[in-house]
Amino acid sequence: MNKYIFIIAIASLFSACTEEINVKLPNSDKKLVIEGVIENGKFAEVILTRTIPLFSSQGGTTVEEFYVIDAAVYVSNGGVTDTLTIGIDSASALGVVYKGSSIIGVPGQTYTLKVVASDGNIYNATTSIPNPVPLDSVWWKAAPPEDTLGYANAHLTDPVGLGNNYRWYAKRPKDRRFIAAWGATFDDKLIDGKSFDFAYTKGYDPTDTENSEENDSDTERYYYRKTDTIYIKFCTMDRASKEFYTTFEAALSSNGNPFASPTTIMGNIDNDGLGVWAGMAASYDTILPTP
Amino acid sequence: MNTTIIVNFRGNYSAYRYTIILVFDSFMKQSLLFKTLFAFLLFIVFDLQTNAQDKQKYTISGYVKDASNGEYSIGANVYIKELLKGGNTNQYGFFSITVEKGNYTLVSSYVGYGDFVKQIVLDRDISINIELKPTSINVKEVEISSEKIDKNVTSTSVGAIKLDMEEIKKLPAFLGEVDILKTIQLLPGVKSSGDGNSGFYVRGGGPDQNLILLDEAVVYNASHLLGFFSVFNGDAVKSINLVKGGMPAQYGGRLASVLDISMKEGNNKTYHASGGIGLISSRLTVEGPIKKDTGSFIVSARRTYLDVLARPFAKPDSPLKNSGVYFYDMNAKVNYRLSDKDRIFASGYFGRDIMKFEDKDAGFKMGVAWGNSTGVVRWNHLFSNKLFMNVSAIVSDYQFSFTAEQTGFELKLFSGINDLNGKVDFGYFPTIRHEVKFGANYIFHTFTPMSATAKQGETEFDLGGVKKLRAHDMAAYVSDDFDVTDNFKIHLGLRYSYFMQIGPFDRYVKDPVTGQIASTIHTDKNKKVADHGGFEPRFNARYSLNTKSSLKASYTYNLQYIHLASLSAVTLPIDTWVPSSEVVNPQKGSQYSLGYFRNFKDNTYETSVELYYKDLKNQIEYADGSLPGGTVGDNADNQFVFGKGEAYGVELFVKKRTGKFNGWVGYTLSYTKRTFPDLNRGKEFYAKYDRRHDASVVLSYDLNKKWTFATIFVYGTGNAITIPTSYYVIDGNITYDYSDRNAFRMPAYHRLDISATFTPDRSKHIERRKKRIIRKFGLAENVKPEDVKIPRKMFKNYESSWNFSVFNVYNRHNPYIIYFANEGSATEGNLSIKAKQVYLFPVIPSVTWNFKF
Repeated sequence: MNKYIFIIAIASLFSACTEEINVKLPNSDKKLVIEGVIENGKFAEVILTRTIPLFSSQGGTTVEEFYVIDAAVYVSNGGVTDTLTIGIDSASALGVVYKGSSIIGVPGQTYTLKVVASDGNIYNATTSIPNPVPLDSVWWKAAPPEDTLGYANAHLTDPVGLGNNYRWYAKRPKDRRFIAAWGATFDDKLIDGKSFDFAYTKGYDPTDTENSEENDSDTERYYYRKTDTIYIKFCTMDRASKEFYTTFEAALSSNGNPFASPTTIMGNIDNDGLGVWAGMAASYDTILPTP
Repeated sequence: MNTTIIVNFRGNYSAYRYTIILVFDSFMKQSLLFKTLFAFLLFIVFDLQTNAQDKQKYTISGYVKDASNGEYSIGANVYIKELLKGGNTNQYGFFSITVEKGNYTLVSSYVGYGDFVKQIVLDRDISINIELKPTSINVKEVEISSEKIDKNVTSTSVGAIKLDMEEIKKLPAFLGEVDILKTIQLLPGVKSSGDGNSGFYVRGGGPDQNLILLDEAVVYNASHLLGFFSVFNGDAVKSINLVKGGMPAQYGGRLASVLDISMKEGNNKTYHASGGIGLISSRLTVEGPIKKDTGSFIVSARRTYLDVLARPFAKPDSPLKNSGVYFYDMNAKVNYRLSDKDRIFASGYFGRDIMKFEDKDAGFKMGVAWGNSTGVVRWNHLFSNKLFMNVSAIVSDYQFSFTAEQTGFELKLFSGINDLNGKVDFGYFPTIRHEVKFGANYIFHTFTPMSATAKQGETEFDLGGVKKLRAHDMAAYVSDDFDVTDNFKIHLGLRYSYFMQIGPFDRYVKDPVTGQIASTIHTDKNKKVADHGGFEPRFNARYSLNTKSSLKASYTYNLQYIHLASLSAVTLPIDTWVPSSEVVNPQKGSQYSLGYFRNFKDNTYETSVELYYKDLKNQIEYADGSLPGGTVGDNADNQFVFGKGEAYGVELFVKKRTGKFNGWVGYTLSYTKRTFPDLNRGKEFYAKYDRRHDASVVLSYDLNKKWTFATIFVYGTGNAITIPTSYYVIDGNITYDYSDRNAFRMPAYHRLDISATFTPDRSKHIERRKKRIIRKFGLAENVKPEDVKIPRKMFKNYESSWNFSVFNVYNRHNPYIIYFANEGSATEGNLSIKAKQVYLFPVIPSVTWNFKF
């Protein structure tokens, strides 16, 4: 992203001017968006939403407009098929989620997802859960010159052999759910077989208006407090899921960036469906308040 | 393919004989076009042989120069009036005409200069140096006859345009900086990419498909400050030749165009200093003889000082205090005539853009620097009055670096390309009907793909290291400009090029399923990684309908071995060049063009209509979902996808060349399409720079000796871009779903600039001053001002002018970029998306003072 910083700086030196404009958009169909995860030791969870045309609502879009609540959702492990049922879950990103009840995620297994939308369209996707790679240790570390604010640190030993993909989530007791930090997804291209320390800043849940980025003071933003309890969820996943999350994260950082070209999010859903069906092998750790 | 080209001179060079023997192993396998070309070559050889048996012929040869400063004139007309035949001076001002014994009128003409006319008795070889006198703006050109030869109609070149610096300097200049790249973008078929973009696009080709040469050295990034200015300092440039179609065989390596820029040699008669002081930049040029009429030098430098000017206004604690952006560049050239047959030139360019940003509070420091450097040494030698040779040794270099530092963490990114180039070119003028060129060149490329080093304190991180790529790039060519009949002329050329990437090199082979590097293929130093090569036939023809109009046609086939793919929506200095490899095949382009050229009113008006069609293969783009960091620790070309392209259009051009009121109007209707199996679901899409309509009007008016006015108007269909059409939520974040690739048009670009140049009349000033002296010293009334002589010491004679210009007169907000921002939040029910555009330049007035001692 560094290149954008310097271009913005140059452009601003040249008194760049920004103004709102009216844009006539080409027509777009509403597409189905799938955000499905099956985690080791847990039932599958699938959030179904739809796309909304860019300038469709005058007064502002609400969460309800995204919901798709009338689809049939099935997960199969090759033998058993689990029919997911819709329910309300305050720990889910949008509050409404389809949940499984018979198949529990197991590392090494492959799972297929089938969504039958109310218009008759069928969407399929396949994923598998890799073996989990637990962190060796986790700790809080101050970020000088601050001594009470800092980052969540961890030590990881990457198994020898390329192909390990990771995603980092963290949560404090007051957070509603696990939050992916900035640049949460990485692979072992440059770290294959190595044992090393790394750190993450605090992430923000865009649906949480109370603990939002804006509500943090300038000095505290992106830092964990020394007194925070931090739950870490460290996941491994397959390549398609990693592709999805890395391109999704790149797309987020290019949103609203005048100089970035659009990043296509690479999903693994067929039939023009957007989103991902991801098998995740999670391992959990906790950083207790540092005395 | 094993192919040998043997160029064999029979007898000595002054004999009128030569043969070209082309041995094609696989001749029979070649296309019909190839066979036709071969037949033509045999025909030429035959023609030369029969010509050689003709009766006595003699040669007039020499150089054409500017009488005022000794600069050699490039592309000046030299012809025999009685025969209406002749040629143009080459890049070094040399010409050679061989005709039968007789009495002739030799004429040389050049825009902006009075004609040279001389009666000659040709009964032996004649060597002549022609000096052309510049015409002052108010003197009507000396017309010699209505039959004056005009290059627009008579040359074989389709789609070639030559511009002189003097012509460009009259036009309105953005912030007072005369800009060559901006001027060529006013010509039909050449499109600008908008304010703040460095590339230009020729007939549907990408920005990497233009070969930009400064005194034969390749300039890889021709812009300063991301395209706000070009790297070519107008004070150091003599002439500009743009080839957008019908590329002659001596050029190669790019598909779309050649922009051949020649630096001034420097005044070889007297010393001069000239320069300009503008609002954001200043420049100074010093030139003069090393030895009068024998050698000269020129040194020219520029620097912008926006950063220095802004600093005092920045608050002490603001990051701006230690930040800034500026560029500087220098041109230097020396030349020396060793003998009548030998001349040497050495020239160089060095430029850097620097950007600094420092936020002391955040402990953050950043620096970006990029720029070109070139160095060229050339030796001209005349083997005879018919055989001219130039040998060049050239270095071209482009470097980009980015450094950032925060709380002990240091990151450095860098990339670049370096060329070592050796070149030999011959010009052979056997008879008046032929101008033969042949030569060869060899380039050793060293590519530095985007590489990174990082360290935290003393700990260095492994970011894949610096893996330089190397390649041999060579070519040989032969061409002939041949007057088949009085009305029919052809340019026939053949180029063979060969490219080989060599080790040390590591190819990372990826597993198609996991996407991980499955194996590494290592190639040892100097061993072949991959090679490519092929013939590039070039063919231009002109048929004169009468002295005022002609039809021209051309076919060219080009290969391009080095490539620049851009990941972002705008062209940036960070984009890196990559060689053809075992993954990337050379880009291939065929261009067909057809033109009708007609002059009106005694060649005062030149008009043309040109049609072109281009077929492009092996075009390169980044794959969907490619990320900027993706090339670190990988081969850059592993992220590429390949496809084909097509471009066609029609260009209309009307130019008034001479008179008080002159200028041009150009219009282009064009289509540029791409098809990539892996992009846009395999559907055809428009290239970003597809431009349906492109028009420009350039007018200048010399009111009197003091005032010159000029105006420019440009209009272009907006760029084709990809925009979001709808949005959705992933992990609670708003994300966009995009339209088909480049399915949306930005608003049209249009702009009007005006300028006025005021040149104070020094003679009146001197007159007034003399009168004052008469009054002051109470001299007798019969002393006239003419009698007063002011010592040169007391009154330096200098010329100066003021340029006032207004850029974007009616304050059009031309979009630089369009982006989308979400406001509010869905959880609160007030989420909405806004489209925003960034425009760079509102109406901008500027003033520049130019001087010349």
